[in-house]
Amino acid sequence: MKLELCNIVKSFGNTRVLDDLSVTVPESGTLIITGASGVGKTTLVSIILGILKPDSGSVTPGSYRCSPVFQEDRLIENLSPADNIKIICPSLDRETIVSELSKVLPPDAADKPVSELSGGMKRRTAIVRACLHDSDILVMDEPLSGLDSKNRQNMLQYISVHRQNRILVITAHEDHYEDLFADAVVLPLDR
Amino acid sequence: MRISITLDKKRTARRILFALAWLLLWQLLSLAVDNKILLVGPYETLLTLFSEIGKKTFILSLGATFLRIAGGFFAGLFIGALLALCSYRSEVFCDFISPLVSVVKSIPVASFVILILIWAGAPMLSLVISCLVVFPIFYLNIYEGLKAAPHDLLEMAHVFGMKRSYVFKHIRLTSLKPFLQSSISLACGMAWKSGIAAEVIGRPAGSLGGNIYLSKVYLETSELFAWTLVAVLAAALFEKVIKYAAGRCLK
Repeated sequence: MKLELCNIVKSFGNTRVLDDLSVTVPESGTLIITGASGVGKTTLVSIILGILKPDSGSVTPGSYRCSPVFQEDRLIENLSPADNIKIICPSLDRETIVSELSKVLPPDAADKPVSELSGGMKRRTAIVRACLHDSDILVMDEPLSGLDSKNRQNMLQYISVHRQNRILVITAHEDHYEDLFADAVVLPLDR
Repeated sequence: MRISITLDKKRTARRILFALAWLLLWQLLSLAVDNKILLVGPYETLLTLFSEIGKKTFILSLGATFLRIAGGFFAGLFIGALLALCSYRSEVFCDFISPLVSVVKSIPVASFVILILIWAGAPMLSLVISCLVVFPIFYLNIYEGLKAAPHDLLEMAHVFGMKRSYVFKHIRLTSLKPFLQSSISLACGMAWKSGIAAEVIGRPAGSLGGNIYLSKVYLETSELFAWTLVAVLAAALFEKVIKYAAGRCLK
C-alpha cells in the first residue's frame, strides 16, 4: 500500500494552513514532515489520521488503519503503561507487552499508574503503544520531544525495528531523521 | 498513619458526644414544655417506636413505602440516564427535552402530587413522585458527566479503534464517576423527602406517610416523631446501600 495526498487544502477561518499540498509515500516508505511551529505539521498529521477533513483534495487509499503518537501522550492516567497498551492491543498477551515496555522503561514502571511516571516515560510508553498496535501506517507527531539524547537514540532504534513494513509518517521540529531513514520522502512545510 | 487514625478516632468521639448533647437538649426541652401534644422527647419517641415495631402493620407500611420510593428512584435513574445519553448523542433531542426537564425541575412537588392523585390515584403516588423528583437530577448530572469526557482521549480511542466497552469503562466512566456520586447522594435524600410528602398528602393505605398523617389527625406527636425517625433511618440505610453498590460498580 502506498499513501497519496493530492492537492490538500485546509484553512481555519481566513488562515490557509495547507495550500494545495501533494505528496506520495511509497509502500513501506517514510514521510518526514519538517517545519517550524505553526506551519501545519499537526494539521497534516490529523488529516492523515482521519481526525480532520481537508477542505479540498484527497487522501488515497480511502481507508487504512493508523497507529498514532500524538503531540501529547494521550495515555489513561489511572492505568499502568501495560494496561494502556493492553486495551489498545487486546490480542497481545500481557507478558509480551511488559517485555516490550521493559526495553524502554525502568524495571517495575510497566505496572505503575501512568500518573506516577515522568514525562519522558509517558512519551516512551506512547511510542511503544503505537509500535505494538497492528496497523498500516505509523503516524508520529514529534515523537521524541521531551526525551534526552540517549533516550532519543533508543526510541529511534525501537521505532525503526518495530515499524516492520509499515509506512511511517513522522514530523520533526528540530530533529533530523534523514540520516536514519535514508530513503525517506522529506516534506518541508513553510508559510 | 498512626496520627491520622488517632485524629479520626478523636473526631468520631467528638461527633458522638455532640449527638448525645443534642439528644439531651431535646429531652430537656420536652420536659420544659411539658406538653405531649406540642413536643415529646427522645425517650418517649423511642418507646413509641418500639411499640410500633412489634405491630404487623409496621413492617408492611415500611416495606410498601420502601419499595415504592426505591422503585421511583431506580425508574428516575433509568429515565434520566437514557435521556442524558440521547441528549449527548443528539443536540436536537437535547433542545427538545430541555424545556420538559426545566418544567419538571421547577414545578412544586405538591402540584405534582395533586395531579398524580387525579390521574393515577394514591397507590403509585410516591413511586411516581420520587421518579419525577429524581430524574432531572440524574439527567443533568449524567449529561454533564458525558460532556466532561476528555476529548483527546476519545479521539485517541477512535483512531486506535478501541473497543466500545473499554472506551466506556476506562474513559467515559472515569469522567462520569464524580457526577454520578454527587447525584446519587442528592437524589437519595430527595426521593425519600418527596416520596414521604406525597404519601402524607395522598395517604395510600399501609404506608409510612399515611401513618404520619394519622398521627397528625389524632394529635399523637410521639407517633409522628417515631414514624419520622423510621423514615430518616430508612432513607439513611437506602443511601448507604446505594452508595456502596455504586462504589463497587464504579471501581
